[in-house]
Parts: sequence; structure tokens; C-alpha cells
Amino acid sequence: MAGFFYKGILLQQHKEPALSRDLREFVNADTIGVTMDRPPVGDADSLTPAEIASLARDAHIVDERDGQPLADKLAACQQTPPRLLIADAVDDEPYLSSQLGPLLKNPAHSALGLRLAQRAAGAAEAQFAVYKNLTDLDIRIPRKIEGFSVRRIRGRYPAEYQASQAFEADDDVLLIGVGALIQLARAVLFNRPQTTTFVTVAGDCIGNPTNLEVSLGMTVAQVLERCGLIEDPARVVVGGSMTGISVIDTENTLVTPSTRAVLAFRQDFKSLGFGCIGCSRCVHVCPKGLNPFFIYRAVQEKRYAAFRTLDAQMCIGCGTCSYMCPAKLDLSETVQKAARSFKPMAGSIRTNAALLAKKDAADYESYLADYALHRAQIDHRRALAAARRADEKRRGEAAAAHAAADREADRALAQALADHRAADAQADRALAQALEANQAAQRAADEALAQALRRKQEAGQAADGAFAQAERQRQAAEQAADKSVSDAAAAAEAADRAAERADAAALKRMQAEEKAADKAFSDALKAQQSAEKDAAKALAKAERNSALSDDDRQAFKRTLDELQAGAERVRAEAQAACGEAKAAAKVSYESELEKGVRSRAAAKEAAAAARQAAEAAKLAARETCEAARRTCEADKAAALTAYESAQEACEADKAAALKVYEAAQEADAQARARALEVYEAAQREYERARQSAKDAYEARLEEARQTDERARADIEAALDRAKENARAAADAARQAQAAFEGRPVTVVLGGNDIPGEPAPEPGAGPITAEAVSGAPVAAEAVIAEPAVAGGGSAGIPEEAARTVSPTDAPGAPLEEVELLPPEAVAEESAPAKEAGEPAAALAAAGAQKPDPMRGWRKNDSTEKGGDDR
Amino acid sequence: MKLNRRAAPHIRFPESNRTLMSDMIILLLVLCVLAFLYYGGRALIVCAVSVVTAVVCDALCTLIRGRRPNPRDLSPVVTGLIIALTMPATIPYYVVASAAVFAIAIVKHPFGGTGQNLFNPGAAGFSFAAICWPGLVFMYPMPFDRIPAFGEVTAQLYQNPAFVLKVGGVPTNNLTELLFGNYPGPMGATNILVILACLVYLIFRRTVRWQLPLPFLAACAAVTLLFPRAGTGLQAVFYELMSGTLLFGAVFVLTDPVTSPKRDSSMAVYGVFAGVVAMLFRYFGGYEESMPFAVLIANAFVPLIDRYNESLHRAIRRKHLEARKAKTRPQARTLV
Amino acid sequence: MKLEKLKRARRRGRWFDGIFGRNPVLCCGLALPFAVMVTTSLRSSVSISILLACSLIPTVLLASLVGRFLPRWFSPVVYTLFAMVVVVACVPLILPISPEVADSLGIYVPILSVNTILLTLCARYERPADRPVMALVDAAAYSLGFALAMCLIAFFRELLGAGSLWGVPVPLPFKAEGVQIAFAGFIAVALLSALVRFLRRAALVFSYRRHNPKPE
Repeated sequence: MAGFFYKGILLQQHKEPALSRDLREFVNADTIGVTMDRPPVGDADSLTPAEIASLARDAHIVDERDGQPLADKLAACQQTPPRLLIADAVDDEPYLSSQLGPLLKNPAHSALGLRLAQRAAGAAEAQFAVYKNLTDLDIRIPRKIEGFSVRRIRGRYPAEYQASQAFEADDDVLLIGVGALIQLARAVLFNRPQTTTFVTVAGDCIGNPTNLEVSLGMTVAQVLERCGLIEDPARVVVGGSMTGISVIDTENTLVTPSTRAVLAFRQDFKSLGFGCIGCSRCVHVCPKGLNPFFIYRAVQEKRYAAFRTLDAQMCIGCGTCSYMCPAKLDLSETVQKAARSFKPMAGSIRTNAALLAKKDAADYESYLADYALHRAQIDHRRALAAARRADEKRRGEAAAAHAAADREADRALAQALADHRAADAQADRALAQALEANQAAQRAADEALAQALRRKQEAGQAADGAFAQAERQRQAAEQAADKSVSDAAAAAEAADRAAERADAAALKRMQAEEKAADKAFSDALKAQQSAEKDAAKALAKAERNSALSDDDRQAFKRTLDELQAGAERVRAEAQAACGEAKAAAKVSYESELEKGVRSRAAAKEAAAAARQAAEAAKLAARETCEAARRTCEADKAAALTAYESAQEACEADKAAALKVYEAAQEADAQARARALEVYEAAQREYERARQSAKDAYEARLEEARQTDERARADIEAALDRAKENARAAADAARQAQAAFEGRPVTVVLGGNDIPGEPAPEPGAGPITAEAVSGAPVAAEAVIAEPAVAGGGSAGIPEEAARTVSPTDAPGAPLEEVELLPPEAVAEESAPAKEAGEPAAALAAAGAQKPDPMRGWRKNDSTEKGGDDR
Repeated sequence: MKLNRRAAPHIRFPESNRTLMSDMIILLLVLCVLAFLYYGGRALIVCAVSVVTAVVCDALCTLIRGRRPNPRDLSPVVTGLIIALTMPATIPYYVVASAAVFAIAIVKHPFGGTGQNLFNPGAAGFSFAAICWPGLVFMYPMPFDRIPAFGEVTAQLYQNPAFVLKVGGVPTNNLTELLFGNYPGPMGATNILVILACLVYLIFRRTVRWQLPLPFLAACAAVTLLFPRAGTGLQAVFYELMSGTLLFGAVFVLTDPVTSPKRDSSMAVYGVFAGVVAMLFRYFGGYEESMPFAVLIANAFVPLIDRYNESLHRAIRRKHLEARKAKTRPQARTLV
Repeated sequence: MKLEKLKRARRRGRWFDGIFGRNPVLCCGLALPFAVMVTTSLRSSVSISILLACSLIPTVLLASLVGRFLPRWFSPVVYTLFAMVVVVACVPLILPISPEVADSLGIYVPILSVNTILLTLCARYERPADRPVMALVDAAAYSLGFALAMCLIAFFRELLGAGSLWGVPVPLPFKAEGVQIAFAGFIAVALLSALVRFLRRAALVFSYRRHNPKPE
């Protein structure tokens, strides 16, 4: 039976003594006797499938294992009959035996019901399914019940889930709870609708744990009272022990068709303050192979990115992880919460896909619309500011343009004025220039005249100068001539004197020479004398010297005589020489004297020649002087004529300049007149321009005001549109949300499109308050099958409903007294509305195909065990 | 009736954190008693010092973090006992106390506290002591020597067989001695038989999953078989596994639930990895004791192992889902 | 929420940011290699602090004056070179502490020229970001904060790990050599960082609560 390697835990079933006891009843006298409004069925075996189905619908039979109406299940089988019909009596949660007990106590009815259902569904085979691991039973489970074999489902908890998986894998299998089959049988046999359900009442605090047949609509408190509490329970649980919901308000929690057990436990797990120690027991027991440890930690640390890999949406809500956790953490609940909150993040899921998508889209649209509204508001503000700014800008521009135009005009005017003034100035300048020119011309003429005068004077002076020069030259020449004469005379004198000197000198020379010659002679004489003396001496000596021989003396005498002879000769020579010298000297003296005479004569001649030359020069000079004087006078005359002609020219120039000046004056006057005209024209122009600028400015202001108004209107319209959009989107989102969660919607503006499927809340009573409006909407009562949109009648047989609550279209006020006032309900509903009976709640509003896995009530979209956040 | 609102499920397995921890503590106390038998009162005082320091430090750190200390949380007791039992009986008290303080105040609480720490505090405390005072931590007294409870310790100290293996020799203790712990060694880690019994007890009581210690020991044995240090074959395996704190660590340190991975396959990988690293440390490391360091390194890899394993399991889940979808989709019928 | 006084206090405290409020080692996590490896002895940490101060202040000054004229990809090179020059030039300043302190610091002296405090401050001040005087103030404050953090860590590490203080043996009942390894340095920085965070938060909360008393 187990298709794959599964995990799971062995739980002690605690089904005794409830299972073995008789099936007791706890019925409401008013409802138990109700019969259906149709003719009773005579022969059960002659019913057609359609009749059976309609019978089931009329009897409002609800399959307790998933809260679906039996009729819907059978109707869905019309098209495709299943191969195998399984009557589900697998009560694998501890303490629960609300299917097994009735099965064992009412085998005939169960078998009849199964037969009928088999015919209605068109199944080929039909079996009962009972859990195998029931170890502590006092009662025996038969192998066959009236011909239908009893199939034992093996497995650890969660075995029912495993079984459903296995069955679903096999296909062609329809699972119906045994309670519904019994009710079907009763409907056929006794013509009675379903007004009761089978409930196991067990737990530590129950004195007589038993299976009880309870009328729908009884409160849990009544049920507990019926069974007897031996102690004050700390917890009361409705549903299975592993997947049930703890109830705190037993007075207002009603029994519904899918209530399978009411358990009362004495022990409460007080908070031990333990934290997760990572023992990983939860990981090891998870039947789906998830990792509750990581999911729990991710939720605690808000690490939502991890949910992609952790697959929290695959949790089936069996509660095994929480069961095993030694720290008593609420792992299962956290995983369910994670799965719910992060459904979009966790990948696709099989149920509610379309509603989810719609809800998301609507949420998104609403969010976008809100955002758009927000932005529209911002834009509105900004646009208003921008419009204001634009308006101001336009006005500013107009003003600026106006001012600019004015300035333009002013400028033009000023320009004209300036031009005028410039023209005037120019005229003045021209005039002044002309005046200047005139004066300049005058001055020039005067200048020329003065120059001519100067020239004349210069010429005169030059002529005089030339003449003076010539005079001077003449005088100079005369002086030169005189001078040369005197020079010559002086030269002659000088020559005389020189000659005399020379004579004197020659004389002296001659005398000197004579003296010299004498001297030489005397010298020679002296020498000779001396020589004689010497010789004498020597002779004497020799004579005295007797020693000598006569030869010697002769020789000696001879020498002495020779010496004497020599000396005589010398003296004679000397005397001759002396005489010659004297003669020579005299000769020379004579010559010298002659020379001197000659030179004196030459000098005299030169002097005479010089005198003559001087005379000639003087004469020439006088002549040139005369010529010069004449030219001088001629020049002066010429200069004078030139000067006069210049004077005339000057006069002529002055006159011409004056004429020009007068012409200029006239022109000037004309120019001024013209400039003045132009200026006046510019002034008129200025006036016109100013006027037109002002007109334009006003026109623009008007235009700006109009555009501003239009812009504002547009802005407001845009904001209104955005608001509309946001409101519409919010409504749509609210509706989609409600559809997704199966809550009734009160749309403030419009009607309900989903009449609302009530979420029966054991903790809150039968009213589902609408949190949005705050005004409770009396939804369908809990006891009936959920009112599916478009499905069926108002759903509750009136008789049964009388006890409990009004059936109504939504919007009707409450009538019954037994119900809590709305306010008390409202505050309960907020936390507890998600704690709705899962099965009933899940027939989520909006028609949708019955989901294959919905038979397993543990994975529903409404909160599971969610009363403890 | 004052009813409480609780979430499903409404019945719970009777085990709790406290029972988990008390299991461990009971076994560690058994080892303490043995240490007392072998080493006298000082062993108990060392354990007491360690435990008290750890508990006080834990309470202080919890207060510093702004929470109320939970007296039912017994994890610092376990940490203290683990640190004490890996030390020699003659260890000065300040060593044990600093190791406990380090373990709790630096390794456990800054990383998240009880249930959130990344590294095993016991292993870390021992590592700290080993690095700071290697001379003190690795010298053991002979069992049945008289060791004074306070004051100077004058007993003769020896090395333990792990050291002998490290220097390349073969331990001279015979099998009985090794099994009963009658040789110098860490206080709680020498009695192999008792530790094995603890292991068996823990596994069968499901406090500890077998995928943690057994792959570790198997990996150590495999490495020893392939590269024996002393002797060959099974003898080498015995010497290795019974020397030092390897077995003690396999049972008490490696199985710490907080720092171990969360799936069976991850646990096996973790165990094998830690075993290989432990043997590597023994062969090539500086100290003769390798288990704490190996455990610390393996702890660092646990998040990685877990992450990849999760992706693996997700793939498996997806495959199952696809298979199931493929089976149901071709049918046009809807099941109820 | 009245935050004016708080804002004012924070503005006034801007000048001392580098010391406590934004301590480079303990709050900003800068210059961690020094905080982890050099703090094994008080001498080394004091020397490194001196060297850092000597190199940080001129380099930041340089950055604030010259930085905007340099192309962005080139300025860190300039700062690094300049810092290196300054560091090498200032090494003789620390030799009075102990002759071999420069050797024992080893590679951490040249690493000073690329330390993150320097780069952060230079990057902050190379374009005219804050008032120009804040460059100097920040440089000084950050060096002081660095010195404080280093000395604090080194005090404990040397005392507990080597049983001495500034080389002078201090008799302690025990000595844990493991405090000298790098791992313990990281742990020390982490713990002190947490402590400083706590103190900052306490100061903030205290000053906030003074003006916004808790509603009853």
C-alpha cells in the first residue's frame, strides 16, 4: 500500500474504550424526527444513480472526511465512474474512532450505504478501508462486512494521507466516509435528512469516552457534559488529536458534519522555555521529506529566500514534526503558516491555482492602482505646483515681454535721441572742422608769406655775406702779399747773419787747426827731444858703463845715432805736416768765405722777387671784390620780387578758405534741421510702440489665465480618475482575496458577488463577521453544508435551522437569540476566522473542480491549528 | 473551565530537551564516576569546577544578551563535563576553568547561544586549553596514583598512547588495559568499554542517530587500515581508535545535535569527513590529540553540507511530484 | 522624537570620531592586520601606533592639498610612496623604545604605507569633502583611536599571553600562550568591537532617553 519509502511515527492509538462501547446518541429532539419532503423510498435496490444522488442532495449529506456534500461527489462521478469505491474508515489519529465505531456498530447500514453509493457512482468495486495498526482493540475487525471486503491500511501515522496518496496514484478511486454512507442509508430507509454526525468523545478528562451520535448544532459544552468530565481539562480539541483545533469557547463551538472528535486533555504543555537545539527529529519523521527545522529557522530569521528550496507548501499538516520535537515547538503550525504566507514564493501548488492567480493579479492591480493613486497624488501636487509655476512663468513672460517692448521703445527713442545728438554733434564737428580748415588755411598763407619774407631777408643777407667775404679775401690777399715781402726781407737778413756766422766759424776752425798742427809739431819736437835725452842718457849710461865693449858701444852709438836721426826726421816731418795743415786750413777758410758771400746775394734776389709777386696779388684781389659786390646787389633785387609775389599768393589763399568755410556753415545748418525731423519722427514711433506693447501684454495675461484654468481642471480630473481606479482595484482585490480564502465579502459599494461561504469557527460561533465592514453579516449557518456559489438552495432545512441561526441571503440581520452579539463575535473572529473548520471552509466560494487531494483534509487553504499564532 | 489555546498536534511525544540532555549527562556522570575510581577525588573536583564555571558563565552570558537564563537548560553542564573528561586528572583548575569560559563565552554565545552555535563548545574549549598549555593538557597521571585534591600536584605524569603513536612507536598497553582504561589518559576517554556501551545505549534509545558516530569511526578505521601507524591491520585500528579521545569524541562530541547536520545523509557525510580530518590531524598535525580540531573543522562545513543536501532532497521531491503528476494528469477524471 | 540634542551632540563629537565613535580598528574594521598580529606585545603596538601617526598625518595633509590635481587612478600610488618615505624616515623615532623593535615588527612597517586607515582618509579628503581642517583632525583622531585600540588589545594579550607588560614580567597566576596566536587576536578584536558597539549604543540610548523619556 505504501507507494514509496515513507517515514512516519507509530502512535499509540488510544481508541479504546471508545471504540468498543456502544454507539450512544445525543440528539436534539427537535431535529431528530425530521423527515424529508419527498416520498419515502420503497425499495432501496431499485433506485437509480440519479435518484440516489438527488436523495443525497435533499438529505444534505456531508462527507465528514472532507466536508464536501456527498451529492457533489456522486454527481462528479456521473461522467467518469470510478473503478473502486472505498468507504473510508481509516481513523489513524489517536483517540479517533468516529468512522470505525459506527461502521462496526452499524454494519448493515454501512453496507447498504456503500451499495447505494456504489450504484450511484457506478463503481465496479467497493471496499471498506480500516487502519491496520490498531493494536489495543477489544473488538475484532471483521474481514468482510456484508459482502464488502475490509481492506486494512498499513502504515504509520499519517497513514490516511499515505493511503489517499496511494489511492490517488492508482486512479479511479473514490473515497467516501463511512458516516456519510450511514446517513445515506438512513435517508433511503427512513427518509431522514442528515441531522446528526458521529463524534468520538475521548481524552483524559472524559469519564466515559465513547462514540456519540450528536445532532448537528449541539455545542461542544453540551457534548462534554453529556459525556461527563471527570476533571477540568486544560485543552479541548475538536477534530483529530494530531490535526484538530483547540477550542476555548466551548459554549459557542458547534458540532458540524465534519467534526470527528471532541477531546479533552488535562495536561497542558506549559512553556518550558526551550529553544530549538537542532536535534533534527522533525526532519527524520516528516512524511513528505521536508525539513521543518530549516523552515522553522527561516521563518524565525525571516530568511524568505530559502523557501524556494524548502517547499513548505508540500506540507500536509500532519503534525508529526511538532509531535516529535523535544522542545515542544509548534513546528507544524509554523510550516503551515510559512506555506500560506509564502505560497507565491514556494512554487506552484495544485489547489486554488486560479484563485490565487486572480487574487495576486487583483492585489497587484490594487497595489498598482494604489501606487498610481499615490503617484497621482504626488503628481497632482506637483502638477498644481507646476501649473502655478507655469502660470507665473507665463505672466512673468508677458510682463517681461511687455517690459522688453517698453524697453525696446525706450531704447529706440534713446537711440533716436542719440542719433539726433550725434548728428548735431557731427554737424558741429564738421563746422568746427571747416573753421579749423579755414583758420589753418589762413595760417598757412601767413606762413607762406612769412617764409617768403624770410627768404628775401636771407637772400639779402647771403648776398651781403658774400660781399663781405669777398672783401675779406681781398684784404687777406693784401696782407699775405705784405707778409711775404717782409718774409723775404727777413730771410735775406737771416742769410747775411748766417753767412757771417759761418765765416766766424770757419775762422775759428782754421785757427783751431793751426793750433792743432802746432801742437803736433811741438809734440813731435818734445818727443824728439826726449828721445835725444834718452839717447844721451843712454849714451851716458853706456859710457859710464865701461863694461861694454867697443863694439857694443859702437853698436850702441850707432843706434843712438840712428835714433837721433830718426828723431830728426820725425821732427822734420812733423814740421812739414804742420805746415800743410795750416795751409789746408787756410784754404778751407777761404772757401767758406766765398760761400757766404754767395748766399747773401741769393737772398737778396729772392727778396726782390717776393716783392713783385705781392704787388700782383693785391691787384687781383681788388678785382674779385668788385665782382662780388655786384652780384650781391643783383641777388637782393631778385629776393624782393619773390617776396612780393608770395604776398599776393597769400591773399588769394585766404580768400578761398573763407569761402569754403561759409559753405560748410550752410551745410551744417541743413544737417541739423534734418536730424531734428528724424528725432521727432522717432518720438512718435515710440509712443505707438508703447501702446502696442501694453495691448499685447494684456492679451497674454488673459490667455495665461485661461490655460491655467484648463490645466488645473485636467489635473483634478487626473487625480479623480486615479482615485476611481484605486477604489475599483481595491474592491476587486478584496473580492479576489475573499474568494481565495472563502470569506464572505461585504463590499460597501456594491452587492456581493459571492454570497459567502461561511467559515465555521468553533472558537467564534456561527457568525462570520466581516472584518472589513465591521458589521456582521449573517452568513450561512455552520450546520449546513457550505453554500456554494450558485449551488443549491439556501441550504439549510428550515427545521434544522430553527435551532441555530437564520438562513439568509447575506445582509440580513441576525435574529436568533442564541447567537452572540456581533461585537463579541467580531473580536473573536479576527484571530479565529482563519481557524475555520477546514473542510467546510474550503469549499471555497467560487465554483471549482473538486480537488483530488481534498479528500485529505489536512492540506486546506484555511488555517490549520492556526488559533495560536 | 479555563481552556488554553494550543496548536495542533495536541498530543506530544514525551521526550523533551531536558530528557535529551539528561541522557547525555547521566552517561557522562557514569564516566565521571569511573574517573573518580581511577583518579580519586580530584577528578570529581575538576569536573565540578568545569561544570560550575560553564553554568555560571552561561548564565552570565545569557544575562548579557538580555535574556533570562533558563535553569532547565542543561547544555552548559554537558559542555563542562565534556571539557573536564578530556583533560588529565592532574590538570590545574585554572586550565579547566579557562577552557570552560572560552567554550561558553567565546564559542557558544557570540555565535548564537544554546541551539544556535556553529562550533562545538566542548571541542573548542579543549582546543583552547591544548594550544595554550600543551604541556599541562597532554600529560596524564597513572591510574590509582594518589593525587592530592588541591595544591601542587606531585604525581608522576606520563604520555598517553596517542603520543606514543605520534612519535612512531607502538603502545605497550595490552587490550585489556586499553579496554578498561587502566593507562594514563584523559579522565573520561580511557574507558573504551564503557564508552562503547554508552554509544550503544544512546543509539538504541534514539537519543543519537547511528549515522553520526559510526561513519566517523568507520572512516577512522578505514584510514588506519590503509595507512597504519603502529602495526598492521586490525591491531592498528584498535590502537588508533582506542587511543586518545577519538571514541569519546565520536560518542559525545560529534553527536552534539546543535552542530551536526540535520539529515541522515548529511550526517554520514559529516561523520566521514570528520573522521578523515581527524586521522589527517593525527598523522600530520602538531598535537597527538586530533578529535577536537577535526570536529571544529567539520562543524564549519556543516552548513554547506546541509545546504547542498537540501537542494538534493528538493530535487528528489520534485521528481516524486512530477512522477505523481505525470501519473494523474493523463486521466481526465477528477478524484475525490 | 526629539533628536536635536542628539544631533548636536553628534556634531560636536565629530572631532573625536576617530577615537571612540568611529574607532578605526574597533568600529570601522580598518587596519586589522596590525590589530591582530602586532598586538602581541605592548612595545610593538606602541611603535606601530607612533609610526602610523607619523605617516598618516602628513599623507592625509598631502592628499587634501594635492589630491584634487592628481588623476584618480594615480593618487593612491602617490600616497603610498609618500607614506612609505615618511614611514622609513620615521623609523628612527621608535628605536628608543627598543633597538630591535623595527626588526621584530618586520613586514608590518612597510605595510603601514598601504594600510586601510590611510587609504580611507586620503580617499575621503582628496576631493574637497569636508572642511579642510577636518583632514588634519581626522588624521590625528584616527591615529589616536588606532593607538588606543592597539594598546588596549596588546595590554591584554601580552599580560595574559606572555605574562609580561612592556617586556617586564608580571607575576600572574597563570599564563595562556594561546592568547598570542593570530586566532586569539581576531577574537580579541571581535570582543572589543562588540564592547565598543555596546558602549556606543548605550551612550546613544542614554542621551536619547534623557530628552525623550519613556512613555508610561
